[in-house]
Amino acid sequence: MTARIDGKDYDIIEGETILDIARRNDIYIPTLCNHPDLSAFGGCRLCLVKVEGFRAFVPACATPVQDDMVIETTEEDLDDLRRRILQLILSEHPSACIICADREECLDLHPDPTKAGRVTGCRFCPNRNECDLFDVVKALGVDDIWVETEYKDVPLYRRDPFIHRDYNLCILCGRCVRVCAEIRGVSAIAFTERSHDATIGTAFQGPLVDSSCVFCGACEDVCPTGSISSKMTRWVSIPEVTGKSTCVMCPAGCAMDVGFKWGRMTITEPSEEGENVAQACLKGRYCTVPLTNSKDRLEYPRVTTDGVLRPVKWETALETAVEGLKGFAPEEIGMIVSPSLTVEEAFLAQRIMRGLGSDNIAIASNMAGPMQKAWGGAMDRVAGIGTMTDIRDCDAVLIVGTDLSLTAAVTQVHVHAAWKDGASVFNVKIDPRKGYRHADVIEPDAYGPFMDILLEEVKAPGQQPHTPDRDAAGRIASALKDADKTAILVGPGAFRDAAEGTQVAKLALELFEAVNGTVLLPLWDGGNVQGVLEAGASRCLTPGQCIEQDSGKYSSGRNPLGEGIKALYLTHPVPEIPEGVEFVVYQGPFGSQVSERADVILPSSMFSETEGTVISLDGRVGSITSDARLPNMAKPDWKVFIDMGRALGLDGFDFEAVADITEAVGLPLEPGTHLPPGEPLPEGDRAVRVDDAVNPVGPWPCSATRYRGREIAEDVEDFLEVAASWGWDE
Amino acid sequence: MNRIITIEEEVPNVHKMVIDAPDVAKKCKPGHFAIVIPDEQSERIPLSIADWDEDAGTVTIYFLEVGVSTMKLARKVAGDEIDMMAPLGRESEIDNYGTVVVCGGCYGVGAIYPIVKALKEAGNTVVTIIEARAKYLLYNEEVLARDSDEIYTATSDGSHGTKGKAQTVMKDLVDGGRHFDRAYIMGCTFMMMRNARMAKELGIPSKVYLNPLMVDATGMCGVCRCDVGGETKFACVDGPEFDGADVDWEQLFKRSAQYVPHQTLAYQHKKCDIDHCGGV
Amino acid sequence: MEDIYKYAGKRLTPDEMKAAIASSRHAMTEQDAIVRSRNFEEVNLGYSIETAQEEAKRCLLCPVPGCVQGCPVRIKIPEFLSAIVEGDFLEALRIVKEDNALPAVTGRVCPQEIQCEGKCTHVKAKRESVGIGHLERFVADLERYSSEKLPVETAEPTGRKVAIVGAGPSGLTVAADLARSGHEVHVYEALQKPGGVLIYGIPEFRLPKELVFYEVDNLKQMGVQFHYNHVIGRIFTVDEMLDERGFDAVYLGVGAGLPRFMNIEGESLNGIFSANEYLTRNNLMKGYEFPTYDTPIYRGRNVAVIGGGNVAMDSVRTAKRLGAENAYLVYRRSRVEMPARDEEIHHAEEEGVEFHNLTNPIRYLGDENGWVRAMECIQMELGEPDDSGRRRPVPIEGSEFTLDVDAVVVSVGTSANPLLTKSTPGLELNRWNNIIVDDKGRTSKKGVFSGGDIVRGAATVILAMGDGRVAAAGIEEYLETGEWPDKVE
Repeated sequence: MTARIDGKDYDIIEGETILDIARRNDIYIPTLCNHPDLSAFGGCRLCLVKVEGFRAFVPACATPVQDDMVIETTEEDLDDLRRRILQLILSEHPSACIICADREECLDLHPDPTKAGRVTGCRFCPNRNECDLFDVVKALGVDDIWVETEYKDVPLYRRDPFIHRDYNLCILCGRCVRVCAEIRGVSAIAFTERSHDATIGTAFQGPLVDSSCVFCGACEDVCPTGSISSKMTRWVSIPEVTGKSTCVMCPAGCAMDVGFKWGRMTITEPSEEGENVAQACLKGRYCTVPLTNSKDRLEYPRVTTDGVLRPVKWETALETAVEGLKGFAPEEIGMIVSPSLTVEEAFLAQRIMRGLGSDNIAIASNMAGPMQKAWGGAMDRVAGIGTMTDIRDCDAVLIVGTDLSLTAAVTQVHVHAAWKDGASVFNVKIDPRKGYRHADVIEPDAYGPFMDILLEEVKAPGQQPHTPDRDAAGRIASALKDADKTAILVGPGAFRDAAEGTQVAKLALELFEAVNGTVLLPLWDGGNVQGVLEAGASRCLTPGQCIEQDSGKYSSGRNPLGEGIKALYLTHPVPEIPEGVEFVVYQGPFGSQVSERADVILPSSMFSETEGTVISLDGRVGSITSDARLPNMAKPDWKVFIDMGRALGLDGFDFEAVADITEAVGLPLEPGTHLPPGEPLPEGDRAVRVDDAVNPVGPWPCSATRYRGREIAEDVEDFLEVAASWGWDE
Repeated sequence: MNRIITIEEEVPNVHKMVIDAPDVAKKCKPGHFAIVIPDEQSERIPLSIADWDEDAGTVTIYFLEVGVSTMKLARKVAGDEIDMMAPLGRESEIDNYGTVVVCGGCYGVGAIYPIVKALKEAGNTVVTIIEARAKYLLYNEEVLARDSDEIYTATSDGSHGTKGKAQTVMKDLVDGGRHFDRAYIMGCTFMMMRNARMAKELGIPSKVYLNPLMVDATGMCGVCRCDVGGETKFACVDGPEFDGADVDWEQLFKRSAQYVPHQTLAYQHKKCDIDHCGGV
Repeated sequence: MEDIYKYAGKRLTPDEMKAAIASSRHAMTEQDAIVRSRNFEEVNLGYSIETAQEEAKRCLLCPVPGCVQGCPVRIKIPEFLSAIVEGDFLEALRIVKEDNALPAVTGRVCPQEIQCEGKCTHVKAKRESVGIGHLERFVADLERYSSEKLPVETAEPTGRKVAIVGAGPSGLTVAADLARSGHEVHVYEALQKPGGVLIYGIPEFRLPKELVFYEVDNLKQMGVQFHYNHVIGRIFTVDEMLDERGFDAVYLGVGAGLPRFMNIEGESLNGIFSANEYLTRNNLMKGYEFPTYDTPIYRGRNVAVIGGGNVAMDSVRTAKRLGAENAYLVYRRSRVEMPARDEEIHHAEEEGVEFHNLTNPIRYLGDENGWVRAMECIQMELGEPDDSGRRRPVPIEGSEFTLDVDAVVVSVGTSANPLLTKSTPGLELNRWNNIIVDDKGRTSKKGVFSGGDIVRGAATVILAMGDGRVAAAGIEEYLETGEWPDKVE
């Protein structure tokens, strides 16, 4: 099938609009309200085109193309009409600068936008380098406004966390409304009021924090003007240095574009490419930078002298640490590995402990231990099955133990895409938080018993007497069984108690097998739990997640927070230092009340300042790069581990660059690829291969509101407000 | 500490503040400025004095919200107290020159008032031109009209008066046969540069009011130094009024950009700080 | 009255004398050099009580104390040291405060090595002097921390009003003396905080600002009234103070704040600051706490400071603390001729400052955005002595070299700021705009006194305080007699 545009013939695809074909073939049609990822709106009317045989001009974005259609995209009347429409749009936007002849010279002399309370022109506008409105003005050659201009003079919405709204710049394109509803599935904002007063707003024009907004920033990305902008990056303008990295605030591992300016990290935005489909969440987008630039960062190595932690040189700190650790037998030393370390860093950490002859390593994660116990015995590796993208094709989605608001929040985008295609979504959770609005929410009394019931209903439905839980389970069971493809996601809420968590994990796997599921993913409570497991930094594991049961090489691994441990090497805060511990080395970017008790403090990096590899909850390998300058004397974790290893006189720390360490890990860590999924073992081969000591009972200071043990709210005050309004009580 | 009597947003982003300062009001002269410190952590910022009332003992300033300090000022309410050090700077050179043109933009639209008044009292024929991006950004017209023989407006988008800038009107008037003996130009650096260049082209000696970065404003630190006529001058004690034709504008722009990264990061930091928590 | 003489005329026993001669000076506890070069906490951590008493015992109680002669305000040093030995700390402080109103400050910033300590008898015998400065600081700090305070007596109000222009060291000293005598004292300060050079010039790591505020609070308790943000000469003049505002006398302690630039090519490039700007941003406006405090300060990676005095030392050590990887000190004369305090030079070296002595900048090179990126320098050698008696540095032909820098602090001295003097008719000035005074601090204008840097040119805190004492006595006399000389020189 073909259509003729401006005298040339083009092939068309069934279901396309005129705009689609034009875009595909690089034919320019001006648009403002249209966005390739969103449904057509037809609001701005700039894309009007002339179609032969049609009474009037039609919007190209909303007109399906037909075979033998003859289209003209430019013509005197049409162009004139477009310009007038554009001028109407400009009349309620502070447009004086857009059409000013001196604009270029003025902006050249003011390379960064002059920060202003109210934006009254391009010079003061944070969006001036990416303004879609200006692009269209330039393309259509508009240099005058024939109608009376007006400044709407509506109040600025400046008091919301993270997001700044200035509706005096809004051109009512509706992109923000559509992205919030269609891509994120939240619908926090909509067109409100009518006629001249029409504006975008929340229910009853309340603040965003009182609405269902999850502060993901998707609206900011699609806004063509500077109407919606991030409070933290509004004025920073174009970064001096940009790079591509991966976010480690949660295990979704979103691909991010990072920007540096004036010697510091200034922005993290979701990349166009990446399985997170150009989406992120409030933590990755808004919290990474303030945490990295926090004034509370540990800056100097410190050693306790006379009961006071005094700043010292690195050599002194390392010497003291070495001397301290060497004063204990290997079985008396324990290490806590942070799930925010990269694969290379975790690898080095376990190499230090094994070099010392100890296997008392635990990951600071409430989920890691129970999962190792449940899946470690039933699968070849503790790893999920399927990817986040696979969720989109599923017909039934079951989420247990979390609500996706802050835990791997980007997963909700994929769940929503599935829902739009007709999938049923069930959310089994106990906490009263926001949740995905289209989910069927079930609130059992306890997770473990509920999962039992659910499995029963799947295998032998309707056999037992009715109870509310059983009825709900029945609903879920039939949906799961009817579905062609099923996704099961298990989150941290179910792992507050280790025993219950183990039970839930085991049942989730059995459920997955019972319904022939497609996707089974652990929504870890740490950014790189998967990577740390792969690096072997946990008791009984070696790199590649090989379980070495008491091979005699190591001491019989103990609970690092249990009996008999006298020295601790912490890379993550613990709830409290156990009674018998005499010597503590603390390594991390932030202090905590536990680090106050440390004997040696080694200031290290945030994920945004180090280099290496991380693995997401669905086995995707992501790389981290950074141009950040660490505060004062702090060093990236991998360098600290190398220095420690060498100072301890251990072999195998001859690395100069991170790439060397990656090689030594010995896993297929090619960024962008997926590691193999977990392989369930045949029934007969299943056994409990790890015991309870593998991870001490929590609860750890790990939750969706923390990074490496540090409450995000301590450095990002706005986050506290958001979390509080959502009822996070951890 | 001086108490704020009133504060209001005249037009989008331009605020007018009336401050209780009886001793200062007695000494103010056209061309003077004040250093204002909104709070303990604030910077010391220079703001032109736009009016004063000796009897009421008050001083008036106009400012745009364009950074942390002006943001803090804009958030103040009547009754709050701020630190103010005034009057600073050299008095304007006022005499009877004949016919003078006074151009104001941004905060200058408010702050040229004392100069207009003084020139009128000295016997000049005063032609005032005020400019703004659009009609809704013009203010102070009636007040200025009282002491001007003629008053013109210019807007970038043509919504009021001439389409263009103050220098457009200046040129139009001269082209139409008017003669000006002197020009007085106050506004943002870009506006003053353009108008000073136009004045020079039209053969009119001009005076501009430079607003470089300042810290102490008593001639102690030298951050406000600028090249005027090949010599280094301190805008706080030798100015702020200088001959427009002699100013090295390029250097002024460059020097004003010294702390843009800091100012930007501070503004962001403070916006997150002050703006957060419930209510619109 | 007996109390004053309680510790006068004491002598050591032979055993004590032997022990004192054999003793060596107790070192001051300091922060580790590398660590302290990154923070603004005070470098010197102070003597403990035991150490202070041990150190005070080293004083030989010389019958003719050279130390007192060396002190510009003649503090009764052997007496206060004896008081420390006896554990009578409050008395020790009282003795010091008879002559010195700000011991916590002077104990930290005086160049003791050329004043009291330089004249110590131990030094004549090639031993280390008694740590007089450290002990002065000790007694002041102890009182500040303790709940037992030195009582301050003020006499009955006299009904006389005196205005002091400038809340710097000399102004505060005059205020203390006059308030004690019962006069109504008003101090007018241009900046928003008191202290003058103590607050804007000397960094936190040498002089914690809380000391200054503590002393000012003491003065307020004595009835002194402080008016900030008042630029005398602008908001009202000296004449108005005497004629309309009812002041019986005025003291001008406005300092020498006018920055000197070298007037070489490129000095207006971005990144080149006067030491006044650099230090004011950092100390008064707390630029190092940016963005908690709004005033920014530029944190260069390669910073060069031109000059050799205490201000240059302060600037270069501040640059290091602000995160400079390389901090250079460029001075045209040699190391021994540097006018800065020995301790500062020593501390700067320990902190990793790179000294380029016998070097002078010729011009600055900038990039396309107007930022300095390099400095062209030339080596110097010492030639014939100039008027000050120091050998004049002479450039060595052909020895030019370039230093990569992204910030430069020009610290080559300051001179009198004419802001006040220009608006005060009848005040005779010398050719450098310094005010001419006689030996009682009187200027050529009746009722107006002066002292400190505005009279001497840039000098030290203690000299300014000495001038303050002299002027205070002069003011007292004038308030009583009303006499004024016809000519003042």
